[in-house]
Amino acid sequence: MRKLWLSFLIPLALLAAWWGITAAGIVKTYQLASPVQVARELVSLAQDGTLAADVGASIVRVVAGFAIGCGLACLIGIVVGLSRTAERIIDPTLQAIRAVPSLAWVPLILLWLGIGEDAKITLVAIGAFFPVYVNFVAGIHGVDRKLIEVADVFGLSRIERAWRIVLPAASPGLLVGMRVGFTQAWLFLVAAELLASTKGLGYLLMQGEQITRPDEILVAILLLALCGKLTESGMRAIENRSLRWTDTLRTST
Amino acid sequence: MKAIEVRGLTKTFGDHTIFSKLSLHVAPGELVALLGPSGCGKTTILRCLAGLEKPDAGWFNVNGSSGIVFQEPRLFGWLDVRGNVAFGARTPEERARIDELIELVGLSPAATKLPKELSGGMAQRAALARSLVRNPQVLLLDEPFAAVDALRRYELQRQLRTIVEARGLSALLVTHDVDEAIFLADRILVLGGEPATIRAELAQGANREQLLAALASDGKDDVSAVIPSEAEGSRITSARTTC
Repeated sequence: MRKLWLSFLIPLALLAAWWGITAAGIVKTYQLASPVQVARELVSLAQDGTLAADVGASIVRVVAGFAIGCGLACLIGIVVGLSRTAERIIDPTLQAIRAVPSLAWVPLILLWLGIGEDAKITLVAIGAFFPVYVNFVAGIHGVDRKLIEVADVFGLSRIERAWRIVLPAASPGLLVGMRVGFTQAWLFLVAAELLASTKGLGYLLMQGEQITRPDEILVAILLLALCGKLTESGMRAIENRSLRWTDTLRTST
Repeated sequence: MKAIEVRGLTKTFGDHTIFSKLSLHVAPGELVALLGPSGCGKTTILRCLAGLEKPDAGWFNVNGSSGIVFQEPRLFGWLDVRGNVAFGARTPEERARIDELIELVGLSPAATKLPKELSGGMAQRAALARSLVRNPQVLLLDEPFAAVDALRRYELQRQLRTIVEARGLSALLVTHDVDEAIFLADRILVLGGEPATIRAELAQGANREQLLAALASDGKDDVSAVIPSEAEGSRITSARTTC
């Protein structure tokens, strides 16, 4: 944790530059609000309760969508990772779907599922699914065959082998996928909320644009940055804790 | 009954015959070294016996359960030493023996360490303990100390010798180290050629010169005639009980 202040150098410099630019009147206030205005807007949103409602709605959608997408990715990933046949059947289709630019799904899902919570959670799940799936399958494929042989000489069944060797040995890949998947979940959430919602951080963004309130837009952006950073740090902490056994540059002390 | 018996074993990879109609045996309580240069097929023989390769022809039998120690420790990185040693344990009796095995290989102070915290020698000792967890009667050893430095190797060899004798184990040790074979084995089989055949068989007490001469020979003065060779094409059967 030493030299933590190094990580704050750039944010502080940006804040100072932002304040300088708005204070000097270089940019018009209806395009860029000053830090003070943004802070004031943040406080007023927090006081009238809209902030908690928006942040809460977004978090619920992200967590639910991530749980579904990640769960499905784990199930399909382990089947594809362990069986050549399953890989031949499933993987090409999934890779083709993955090649579709993510936001192209938005109109279709909205058309199918309407503008309710289902549609947003589905989109978030799609977003979370692919990073988890891809990294998990790569992790399984990367498991050392020599370890599998140890299971074989002990006569382990396929299921025991998957559970006791393949899963833990592939966990680094899975955890990286989950971290990237969570970031992607936020991205899809904003896309869904921008297009159709009545609350959430994406809604706050869109509303700010429509009523020309740069302070509101910036509040939403800052909150998204904060949420994204917090989930990323949380996932990284889980990763570091559970991967202490790996012998890599990152875990070396 | 022999602890290990191999008759007319043949293994090919593609059109490359690794060994052909190979026969050998290990008597109960005997430690036999299979000595030969790197890449001559020694390991493949052991892998056949462990069930990791399927021979193309021939017959072998490993009497009773076997444990195998590979060239590399092959420990599970996410389990500590105790977890690794316990990996193959199925019954409460086997589980109850784990601490004793860790003690046996001198790893008690390191029982809760992760593999990445172990030296090469310690890791290989953990692998040896893991191979003993089901109380095997036969040990298959694939150059277990090849990656350990010379001083540690001597210590590990002595330890292995003690364990094998104390538990009355039979063992087949694959090695390319002449001194290791002399030090550990009751009997040494010298393997060489392509496809590999047993070039010479030396009893305990053989000296370095004899062994080196056998290794260097082109196999014309084949001593392996003392070992019966089975008719070719006999059925592949395996009477191995566990692992």
